[in-house]
Amino acid sequence: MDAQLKRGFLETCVLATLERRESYGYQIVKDVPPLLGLTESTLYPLLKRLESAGCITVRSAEHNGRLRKYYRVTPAGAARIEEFLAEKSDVMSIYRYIEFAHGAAAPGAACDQGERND
Amino acid sequence: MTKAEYLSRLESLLSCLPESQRAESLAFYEEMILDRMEEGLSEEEAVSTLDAPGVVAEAILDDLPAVPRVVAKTRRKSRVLLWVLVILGFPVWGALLAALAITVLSFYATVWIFVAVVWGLAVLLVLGCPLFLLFAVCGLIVGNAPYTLVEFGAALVALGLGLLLVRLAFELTRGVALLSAAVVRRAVSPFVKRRDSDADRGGHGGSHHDGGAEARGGDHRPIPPEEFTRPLEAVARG
Repeated sequence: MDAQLKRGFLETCVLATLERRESYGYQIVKDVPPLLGLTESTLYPLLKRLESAGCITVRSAEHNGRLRKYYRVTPAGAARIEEFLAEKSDVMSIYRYIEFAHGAAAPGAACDQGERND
Repeated sequence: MTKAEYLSRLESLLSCLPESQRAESLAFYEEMILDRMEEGLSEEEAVSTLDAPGVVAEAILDDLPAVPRVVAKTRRKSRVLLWVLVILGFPVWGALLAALAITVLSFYATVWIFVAVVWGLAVLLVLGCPLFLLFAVCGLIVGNAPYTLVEFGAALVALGLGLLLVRLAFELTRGVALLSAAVVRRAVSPFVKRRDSDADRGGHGGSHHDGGAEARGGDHRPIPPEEFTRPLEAVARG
């Protein structure tokens, strides 16, 4: 998937995952769809960003004799998810435009803008 | 690589960060390794699923806001260089700082001078009332009726206007004082350390260890948004 698209989706995906239930780092990595390619090195700065934006809160709890950080979403975070979903129809209309424009450039007819390399 | 090796490598790569940020980052990755080991992976396998320490460190440093990032990366190269640059730059940032301070102070003084002028006008008008009354009495003594009436009227007008201006001056004084206090508080807030983190993060999410459990009730149920906001509104209404 395009790197820019991924970045845009990742934050909201993590937020939605946390909205479903309070979670910890490794669990988030497992829950988020693998095609987004979320790794720890991406997740950690992302969680910090969400925390300083007030979209999630952190607490430490004991687990098997060590401390584990649990993250949960705040109302502000939930609002951000809503905003993201509200844009869905806009996003779909962009996809339709690209498909339309791409399809309108019929194979062989109008593609003289550099596709041929002779 | 063992867990200890990985973490110590990461620690040295993050040595340019303040202690608390470094500790927090290390804790996060240690937690990741331990969670994977809990799932059944061996220590070596768990470490190998993570990105290389260099990649991790770059990701953490890249996410700092611009100025702290430059500071952190320069510190990584040489602390001395950083201080040399700061000192060498003094003629520029020192002069700019002084110019800014003087501008702000003169603006502030102007505002207060304006308020003082309003006060002065108000006081003059109020004091003018007895003066006009005196003239009115003189007119009465001399027997000049129109003059008496005019002076009496003027006295009343002066008193009325004066009192209005006093009220205005009072409100202005209070407004400016409150505004000053608010501006000072906001200007100082980035430098107030709520935890040992960097100054630039101090303004926002201070919910690190205190917000979660007590404010939100601290249980593990998944909480949909509607359920979440209603209790908070009820709390706000008291």
